[in-house]
Amino acid sequence: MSASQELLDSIRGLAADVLGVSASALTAASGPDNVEAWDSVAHLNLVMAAEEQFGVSLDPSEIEGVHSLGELAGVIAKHRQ
Amino acid sequence: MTVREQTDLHIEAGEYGAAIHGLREIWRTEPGSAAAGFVNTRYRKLAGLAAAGDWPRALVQARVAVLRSYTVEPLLPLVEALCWQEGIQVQFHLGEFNAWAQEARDGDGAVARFQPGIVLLALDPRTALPDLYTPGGATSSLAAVESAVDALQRWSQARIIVTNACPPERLAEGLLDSRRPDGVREQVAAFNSGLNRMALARQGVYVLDAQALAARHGYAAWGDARKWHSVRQPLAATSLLPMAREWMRFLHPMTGRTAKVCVTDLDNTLWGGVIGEDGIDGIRLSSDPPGAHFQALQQVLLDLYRRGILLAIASKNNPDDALEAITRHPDMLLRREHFAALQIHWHEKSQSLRAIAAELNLGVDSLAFIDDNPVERQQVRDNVPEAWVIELPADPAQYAATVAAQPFFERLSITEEDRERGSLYAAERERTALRSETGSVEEFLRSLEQQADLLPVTARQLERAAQLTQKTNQFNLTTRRYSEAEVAARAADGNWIVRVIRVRDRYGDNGIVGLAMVSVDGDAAEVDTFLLSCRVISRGVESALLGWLAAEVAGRGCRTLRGWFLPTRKNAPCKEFYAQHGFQVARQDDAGGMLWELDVSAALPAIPDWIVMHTAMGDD
Repeated sequence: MSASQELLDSIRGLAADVLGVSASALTAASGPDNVEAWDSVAHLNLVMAAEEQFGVSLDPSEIEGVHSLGELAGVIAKHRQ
Repeated sequence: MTVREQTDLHIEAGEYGAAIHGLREIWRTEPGSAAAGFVNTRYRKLAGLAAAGDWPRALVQARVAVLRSYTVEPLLPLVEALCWQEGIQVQFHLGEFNAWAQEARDGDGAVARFQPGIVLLALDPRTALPDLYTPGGATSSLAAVESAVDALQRWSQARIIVTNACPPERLAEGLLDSRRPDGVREQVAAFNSGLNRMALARQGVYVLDAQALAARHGYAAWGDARKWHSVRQPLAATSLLPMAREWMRFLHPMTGRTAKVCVTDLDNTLWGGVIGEDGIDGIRLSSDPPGAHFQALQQVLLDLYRRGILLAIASKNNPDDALEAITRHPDMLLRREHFAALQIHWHEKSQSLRAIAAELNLGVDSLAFIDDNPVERQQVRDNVPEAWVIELPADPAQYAATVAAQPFFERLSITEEDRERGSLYAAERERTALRSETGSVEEFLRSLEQQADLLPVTARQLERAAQLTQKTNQFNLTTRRYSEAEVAARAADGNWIVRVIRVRDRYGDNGIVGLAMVSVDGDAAEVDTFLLSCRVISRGVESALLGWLAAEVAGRGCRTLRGWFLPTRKNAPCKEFYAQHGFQVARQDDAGGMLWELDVSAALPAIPDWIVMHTAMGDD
């Protein structure tokens, strides 16, 4: 399994926790537009849960720019490089 | 299969107790924002499904209104998860952003309609009190918070928690700030100490020391400037859980989720090494390392003892070896007289905990347990899920801080009774010895030479009266929890009879051990609250209190005295109380509650003649 796939999987697990949905229902394309529980509060909670778990801190522009789990994984991967 | 998947399967299969066990394990092993989301959604589902017996501790409700000047949303799931873990079902009402000052004044608004039991004023000076960070700004900032608190107290009896202020990230004047008497650092210090005085001068107002918390974790890492500037969320992701835990230090005592006894292991916990092998000269215990870590833990336990928390021992040892160390080791801070119960033998620790609870006449959910051995901790966790098991870190240097930080040891007030509790239990041991010497029960009760004082609730007894409603579980007919303000309101109302009872006997003063609150309406009176500390149950005090009340309401022209028995998991000891005193069942509700009635114009319950009653109208 590639490193990026592994990261995406752990972010899917994290998002499933925060959003209260099943991980199997989430993909890289899941985002506020297609997951009902993903509102602005959940967005902030998700970002902060990811920051806590991966030891990173995102810029405001990155937080706003994330529209899917795939994009969140990309931003976190960039910070961890 | 992951623990999460397994937990969901348990829920689907209707195995709710197993599901709750799984959720507790998930949170215990990986507490954080992610796990909070998972456990909260499952707990909410279970709250509607699980039976009372599925929960390790009976659920209590908490209604918390958060009036705030910053984005607290990411904190709430963590607080909720910490609450579920403790059997507290918390409901939040979140105030509008930075509308705290208006909301505090609005007795008809959404906050008031929510009817909070607790109001938290979560204020960041940058939005709430911008003046504070300017020279001379403390006075107006303090006045703003004070007037909001006073306004709140006009329409609400909720307990109020106010956060204090951190210094600003940067001082506009740099070093010069300290060269002027009205400098900003000075303002923040003055504001914080003014806030403490404000809280001390009021009932039910407390300060959450956000400044000390941030300082302890380091200001530089505590905040997150990027989130502050973008979404007005001040905390770094890693600061959320410590802040949520700080809230819990208040929520535990406010919901009555407090440990009354701290049960401790001995070997490698109270001292380093194994007494049975190393001997009294070989164990490590001193004011220097490596024994200092163990002495530091003893100091923490001694502090708890002075806070009114009982200490007990559960140790696998030869009793003679262990007792020799306790009585003779020169560096022990804790001695025999500090321990209310001793279980020193080779049986399982879970058995020791149950024996300690039985001996002290408390539920096992009043016990917290300390042990360096993870196997013993798991054994207790599995077999006594009601008790708190403290996760001691592997490094003894951290023992003291870990135990001292446990929120269930927090108290919001302390009474004379609390401070004396340890010695009260010593007197109780003597009474027990007498009971086994004397023959009949009545003979024993007579030999106690009990005197009971019935006192109206004035300012002096208010704290204790409210505390009794919060903490009494076994002999409590209705288990209604009240704040000081709520008790005070009833005591001041002419249609209520509110009395505390204080009991003395030949072994000493038991202090204030009971409370009765009765509302009178025309020719009927209803017992709202009737409770007695377990220290004095079955000595006739309960009959004396009821007999006096019945006579009092009859004297006021009532024909009927009625009262509910509302069953809880704990109060079976008083189930038959009304029946034993001639009351008849008038009504029954779906939850097993029973309304009992007595015609007080016909006959009154007798006051046992071995208790001398004194009634006082004023403060004694």
